[in-house]
Amino acid sequence: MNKVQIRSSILIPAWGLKLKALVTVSTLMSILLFTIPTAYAESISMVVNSASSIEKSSVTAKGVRNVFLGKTKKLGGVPVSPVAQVKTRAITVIFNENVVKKTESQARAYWSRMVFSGKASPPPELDDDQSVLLHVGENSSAIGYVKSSAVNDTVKVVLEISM
Amino acid sequence: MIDQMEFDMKNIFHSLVLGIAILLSLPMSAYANVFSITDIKVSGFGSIVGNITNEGAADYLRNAKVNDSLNVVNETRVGLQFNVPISDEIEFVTQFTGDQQDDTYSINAEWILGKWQVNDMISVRGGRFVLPVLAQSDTINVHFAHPGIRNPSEVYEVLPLSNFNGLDLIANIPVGDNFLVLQPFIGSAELKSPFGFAGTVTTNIDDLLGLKVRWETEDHAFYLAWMDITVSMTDPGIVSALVNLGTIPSAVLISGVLSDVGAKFISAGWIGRFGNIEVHSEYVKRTLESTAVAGVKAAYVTAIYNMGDYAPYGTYATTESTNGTPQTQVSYTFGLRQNVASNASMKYELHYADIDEDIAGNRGLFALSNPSSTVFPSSVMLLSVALDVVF
Repeated sequence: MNKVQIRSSILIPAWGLKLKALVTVSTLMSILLFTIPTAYAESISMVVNSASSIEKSSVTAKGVRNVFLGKTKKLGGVPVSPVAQVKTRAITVIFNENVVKKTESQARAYWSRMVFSGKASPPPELDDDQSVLLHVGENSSAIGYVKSSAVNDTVKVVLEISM
Repeated sequence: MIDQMEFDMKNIFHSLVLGIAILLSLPMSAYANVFSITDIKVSGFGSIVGNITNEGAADYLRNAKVNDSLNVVNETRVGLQFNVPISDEIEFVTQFTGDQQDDTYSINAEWILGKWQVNDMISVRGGRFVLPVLAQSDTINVHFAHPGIRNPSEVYEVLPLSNFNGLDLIANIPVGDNFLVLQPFIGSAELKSPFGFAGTVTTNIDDLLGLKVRWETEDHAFYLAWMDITVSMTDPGIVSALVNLGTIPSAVLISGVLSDVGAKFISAGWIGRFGNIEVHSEYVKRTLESTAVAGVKAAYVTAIYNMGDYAPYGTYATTESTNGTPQTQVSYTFGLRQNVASNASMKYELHYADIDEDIAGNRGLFALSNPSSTVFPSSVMLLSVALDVVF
């Protein structure tokens, strides 16, 4: 099939140009499509304050999901206050799709239902991994998500989620 | 004597609700040292809806009241909500909506409530808020939260109450990774122009008592709800409206035909997700002790296919009266939701309603907004475009 197309492009220059343009666009789209997952191939870590009594063995992805959907305020039996990262960050998109199980628009519709029924408010949003690490390091009940490579000694990892 | 006792009981109940709301507000002074204006969260929502039908002789939809002239006003509304946290456990929520009906602009206080988060599982709310008997009734004005331009009127018009004054308790009980949610509620309400009637008929809803039970898993939510009320329509004008609707013959034109009439609502629903496909379905049944207002059963099923920023959807809805000769209304809705921003969506919708006429000349109960009209179409085609936003 490819051979036929290449031969056609040689015979008909206009088609050749279109094919080149198509290949260029496809390559660019592939780079865009595969860049984001590659950046998080290392996994996302759920971090809590290093003094938190949350046991790593008691934390599941579904438990984290319920906390970040405002359905419960406890994780592993310990009160927690979740913090998110801003919606535009790739890590938030990936966290929502893989852990919270909602696309950006579904998440927005879900929180509009929760907020405007007076049931719950979405977690506050911080700018980046460093802001989350700083916040979690200073607040005993805080829980947040960061790239695993960004984790430092000020926090404790309670769950690592491979993407 | 009995009337006086009932009057006293109503006053006691209203005082109780007010008292609890005030009690919930008392900690404000205690927490004044930690409370500041920056703690108030302000959020809002809005919809601009354009409607037009193929029917010029009779208006369609109780709230929209549209005909073959383009109308971009009647379903357009804006809402503002203020969340005032007093402490980690106590919060005040007020929600106001502004809209225009019949050339009259109005601002309505939909929610004025105090919420006490007793513990991780239980919260108590007191004040004025929306009845929770249907899946989307909590956010009925927030169209951005729903797949279509409006919730299926066949089901959502069965319960003409928008909000009530009272108390509820929400018990959010974890069962493994799932949740069992119990929500009993009690209160009273006053309605203007209920059941689709035009004019200024005032209806009092008393002895309102209900329970909603919801089971939530990762991809599915099921609920069952039940509510008992007592209805009194004090304005005699209601009788002529009922006669025009054909729900009572003129022979029963007696005063007090709707005095302390018992009514029951039961509803059930399911929202499920299968990958990119979502299914929403609800059933509701209304029964009254009097035949003056018809009993009704209604249901709908909506399927949505989520593909990125686009979500085509289709709805089949039906309603049928259960008093006397059955009347039916069936509608089909096809639409497309386009997310134009993370907080804004455009929706394009075509809705077709088939309204059967029974032997007595009665029509689908919720199709027409003008009950005194002498012209009733047997079907209506409605085209709608909406921009929904939250902020």
